Amino acid sequence: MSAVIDSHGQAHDHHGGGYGGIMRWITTTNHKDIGTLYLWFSFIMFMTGGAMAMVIRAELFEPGLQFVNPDFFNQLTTMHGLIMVFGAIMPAFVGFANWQIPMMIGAPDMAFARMNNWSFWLLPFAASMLMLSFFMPGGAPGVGWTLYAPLTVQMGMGMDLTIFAIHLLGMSSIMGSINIITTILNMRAPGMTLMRMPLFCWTWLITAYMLLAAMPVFAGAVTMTLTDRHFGTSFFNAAGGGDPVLYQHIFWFFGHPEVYIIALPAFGVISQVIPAFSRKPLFGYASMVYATSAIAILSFMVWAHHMYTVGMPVTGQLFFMYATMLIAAPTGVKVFNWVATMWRGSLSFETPMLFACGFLFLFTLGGFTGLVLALVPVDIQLQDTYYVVAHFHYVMVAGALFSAFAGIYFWLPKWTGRMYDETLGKWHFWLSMIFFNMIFFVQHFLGLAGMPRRIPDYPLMFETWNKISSIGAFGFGLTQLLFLYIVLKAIRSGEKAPQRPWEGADSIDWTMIPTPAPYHTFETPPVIK
Amino acid sequence: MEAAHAEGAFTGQAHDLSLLLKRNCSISPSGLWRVFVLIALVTLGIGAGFACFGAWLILPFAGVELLVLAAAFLVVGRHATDCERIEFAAGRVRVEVRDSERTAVHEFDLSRAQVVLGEGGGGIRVWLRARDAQLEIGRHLDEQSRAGLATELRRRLHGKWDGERKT
Amino acid sequence: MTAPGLLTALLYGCVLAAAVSSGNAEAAAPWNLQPAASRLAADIHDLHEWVMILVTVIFVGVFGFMFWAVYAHRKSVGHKAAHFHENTTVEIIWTVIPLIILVVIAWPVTKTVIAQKDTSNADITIKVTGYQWKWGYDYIKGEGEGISFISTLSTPRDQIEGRAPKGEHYLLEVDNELVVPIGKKVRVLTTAADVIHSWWVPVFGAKQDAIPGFIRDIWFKADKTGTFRSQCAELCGKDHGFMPVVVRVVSAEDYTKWVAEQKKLAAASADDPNKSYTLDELKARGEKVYAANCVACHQATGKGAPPAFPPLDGSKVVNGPKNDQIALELNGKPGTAMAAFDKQLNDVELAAVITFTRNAWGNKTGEAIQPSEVKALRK
Ligand SMILES: [Cu+2]
Repeated sequence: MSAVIDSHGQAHDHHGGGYGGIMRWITTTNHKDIGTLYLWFSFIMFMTGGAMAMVIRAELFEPGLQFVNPDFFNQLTTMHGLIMVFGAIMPAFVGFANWQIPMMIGAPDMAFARMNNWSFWLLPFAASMLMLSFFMPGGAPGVGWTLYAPLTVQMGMGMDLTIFAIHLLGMSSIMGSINIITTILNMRAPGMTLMRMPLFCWTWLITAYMLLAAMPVFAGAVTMTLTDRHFGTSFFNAAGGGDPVLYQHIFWFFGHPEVYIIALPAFGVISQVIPAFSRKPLFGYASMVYATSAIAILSFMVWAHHMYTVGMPVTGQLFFMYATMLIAAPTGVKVFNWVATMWRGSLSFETPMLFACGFLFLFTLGGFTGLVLALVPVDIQLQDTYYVVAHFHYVMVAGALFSAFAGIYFWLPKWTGRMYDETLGKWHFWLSMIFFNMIFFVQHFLGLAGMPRRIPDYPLMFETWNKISSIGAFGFGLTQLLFLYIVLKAIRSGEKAPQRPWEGADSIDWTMIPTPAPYHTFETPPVIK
Repeated sequence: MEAAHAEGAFTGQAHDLSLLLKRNCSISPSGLWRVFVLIALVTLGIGAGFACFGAWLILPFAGVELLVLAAAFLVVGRHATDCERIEFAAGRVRVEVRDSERTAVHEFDLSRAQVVLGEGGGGIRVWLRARDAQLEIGRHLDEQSRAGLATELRRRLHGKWDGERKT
Repeated sequence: MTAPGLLTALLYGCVLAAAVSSGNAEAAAPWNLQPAASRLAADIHDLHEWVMILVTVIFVGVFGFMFWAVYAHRKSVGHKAAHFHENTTVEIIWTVIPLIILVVIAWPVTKTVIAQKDTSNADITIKVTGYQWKWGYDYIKGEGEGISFISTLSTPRDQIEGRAPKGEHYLLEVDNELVVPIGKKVRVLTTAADVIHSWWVPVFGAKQDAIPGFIRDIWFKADKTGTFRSQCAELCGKDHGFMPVVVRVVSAEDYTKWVAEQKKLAAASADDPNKSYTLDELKARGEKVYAANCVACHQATGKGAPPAFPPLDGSKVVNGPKNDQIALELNGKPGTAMAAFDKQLNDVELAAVITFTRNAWGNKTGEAIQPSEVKALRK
C-alpha cells in the first residue's frame, strides 16, 4: 500500500510574476513564454535573412550589375548566412525545446528558469548588433558567414560588431545548453527513464552536448580574428608566423558539428511527427538513439571535408573522406527507420506530415549530394560552386526549415488551443515544395557547369538557371507570408482544438496535459507507467 | 518552481506511517559529476588540442564554459538529496531533515503536536508545532501538495484517536 | 489534395517564363560538368557519373517504399496500422549494406585522389599568385622559364554596368592568357599576396587555393588544345567575381613560338629603371597602369568608394610628400584592401602610376616621379 501525497497540477492564471504587457515578456521565466519568444524572434530573423536573399536573387536575375554593388553584395551574403543560421534556425529549435522538453518529460519548467530568460534576451541584442554593422563605416563584413582569415583583417568596424554579436549568441547557446542538459537529466518524472523519452528530447540532449563542445571553439576563432585585427597577434597571419588555414581548421571544427546541431533537433521533430500520422510507434527507437549519437561523434571528425582544396597531404584527404562517407551509414539508418515507421501504418497527410515527408525526401537528396561532395576528386571540382550552395540549402531549408514548419503545425494546437486552416496549410506546403526545388535544384546544374558561389555577376551561359532560381526565390519568399497569415489566423480565430487533434500522438504532452497547455504544467510530476 | 515528489508507505501497524518528502531528481549527484567530467574532458581536450597548434585562445573560453557548467551542476547537485522523512511511531512524530550535507532530527510528542498553516512567500506553508518548538515541513512540495500534506497530517494526528477508539 | 494540376501549371509557367525571358537566346543552359580536357578530369567525370547512378538507384529504391506506403497504407483507404516497431535483423542489414556500398565507392575514388596529388616529374612549373583581383603567372621551370606576366579581366566596365551589350566571353576574358603546351605535365604552384584565392580550371579537374604566405601545388596535363575559361573560386573581397582564369592550350610548336615571342617582347619593352622620363610620358604610361591595377577600387574618376576605398582625387597622400606615397604603393597599408605593389609592378610602372595620380582629376602637383626615386625606396 502506498500513501503518495498527490495533487493535481491545476492551471494558475498568474503570468510572469504579475506583470502585464511588455514587462511580462521581459521578466518571464516560464518555459512556455520563453519558447514563444524564441519562435517569434526566429520568425522575424527568418524574414530579415529572407529579405536579404531576395535582394541577392534579384541581383542574380540576369548578368551584369543592376541593384547592388559587389561590396554590398558580399555583405548581404555574409549577413544572410549568419542571420539564417544563428538567428533563424537555431533559435527556432531552442523555441521547440523550451516548449516541449518540460512537457515531454513531466517537468514543471526548465531547470534554471532565470537563466533561461537571460539566454533569450541576449538574442535581440546580438541581432541588433549584426544589423547595426551595416551602418558602420565600411558596412557589414563582406567575408561570407565562414569569416575566413585573412580577408577579415581588411574589414571595417562592422567586423568587430559581428564578432561581438557572435560572442553574445555563443553565450546564449551555452546557457541554453546547460539548461537543457540539466533539465533532461535531472527533471524527468518518476518512470520517465532516458530510453522512454520522446526522441525529440534525445536529439536535444545530444545537440546540447555538441553545443558545449563546439561553442568555445567558435568563440576562440572569432576572438583570435579580433586580436589579429587590432592587437597585433598573428594567429592567422603568415607574415607574423601564423597560418590562415589554421582559421579554417578551427572554424570547421565548430562549423561541421554546427550543421548537426541544426539537423539533430530537426530529426527529433520528424521522429515525433511521422509516428503520429502513421498511427504506429517509431520504428527502431533504440537504433535511432544510437544513430544520433554516432552522427554526433562522427561530426567532430570530418571537419576538413570543407577544405579539400587548401592542399593537405593525401593521407589527410583520405582520412576525412572515409570519415565523411561513414556518416552516411547512421544517417541511412535514420531514413530507413522513418520509412519503416510509415510502412504498414495507417497514414494520413495533414500539413505536419506533408512537411515531414517533404523533409524526408529532400533531406535525403541533400544527403546524397553530400556523399558526392565527400569524394575528394569530385569535391575539388565542386568546392565553392553553386553545387555546394544547393547541397547545404537542401539540408538547411528542406531539412531544418521544413521540419520546423512540421513542428509548428504539429504543436500549434497544443500551444494555442486552436487549429490552423488545413487547406491553407496544404497550400503552404505545396508552394514551398515547388518553389524550393525551383530555387535550388537548378543550382546543382550551375555548380556542375562551373559557376562559383558568392559572385554578384556571372558569365552568360549561366543565365537561364539563374533566372529560374530567382523566380523560385521570389515565390518562396511570398509563400512564407502565407505562413505568417496562417499562424496569425489560427491564433486569432482558429477552430478550437480538441484534446488530441492527432490521434496517433501519444507522448505525455498530448496524453496528460489539457489542450491548450495551461500556463503551469506538471507542478507535481506525473508517474509514467 | 521546484519539481516536487512525495512518497511514503505504511509500516507495521495501521496507524504507523512513514512519509518521505523529497525533490524530484532523476539523476544522482554522482551521475551529475560523471556527466560533468565527460563534458570537461571533451571540451578541455579540444581546447588543448588547438593550443598545440598555436590557437590557445580557445582554452580560456572552454574554461569559462566549464566554470558556468560546474556552478549550475553544483546548485542542482548540492540539494539533490534534500528530503524530509516524517515518521509516526510509538506516540511520537519523528522528522528527519536533510539539507545538502547536514541531517537534523526533530521529535515531537504526538499528543502535543499541532499542524499550523500560514501564508508566506510561495503560498501556503506548513509547520509542525509543539509547545516549545516548531518546524517547517513540506518545503519540497508545491502548494497543492503542501495543502494535501497538512490535511493528511491533521487526519493522522486525529486518526490516532480514531484508531484507539476502534480497537 | 488541393488542385495539384494548378500547381503543376504554375511550376511549368514559371520555368517557361524564365526560359523565354532569358535574353540570350542561343545561350545554352549547361547542366553537367564541362567536357574534360585532361585524363584526370575525365576520371572525375566517370566517378561522378558512376556515383550518381548508384545514388539514384538507392534513392528510387528507398522512396519507392515510401511512396508505396503513401499510396497503399493510407488511413483514407481504410488501412489499419500494424504494430511492429523493431526488427534487429532488418536493422543490421540496413546498417551493413550501406557500409559495403561505401567501400565499393571508396576504392576507385582513392586511386584518383592519389593520382591527383602526384605532382612529381613535371615538364613545366608555373607559379600562380593571387592578387586582389588578378592573377600573376611566373614560368619558373621548363620551357618558357623566366616568362612572367599579370592576367587581368578585360571585360569593359560598360558591359558590366549594362551600358554596352555583353560580349561572348563576358567576365571570362583576360588581357594575358596563360599559355601551356598540350600533353605536357604542368605543375602549378599557388600562392597569394593578400587574401586567399582559389585557382581553378574545371576542364583539367584542377582547383587549388592560393594562400598568402604559403605555397601549394597541383598539376594538370591537357589533352585538348583550345582556350579554357574559369573564375577565382574563393571569396577574396569586392571583385572576387571579376578575376577570371583563362588558359590557352597550344601544340608544342606553337608553344615554342609563343615562348620566343614573349622573350622578344620582354627584351624590347624592358623598362629601364635608370632612365629619366618626361612628365607626359609618365602620365600616359601611368594612365594604363592605373586602368589595370587601381581602377577597381579607386574608380576611373579617382573618387573611390569611401570609406573602404578612399578617393585619390584631392587626397592628402596623393597631394602630399611624394616619398610617403611611393612607400604606400610599395608596401601597401596593412589591415586594409590597399595591397603592396612592390612585387606586382616594376619601378617604371610605379613611377608612372604615381605621377599619373598626382596629376590627374583635381590633383595638380606638376611633379614627375622618376623610376630611380622608387628604386631608392624599395626595401
Ligand atoms: Cu580571388
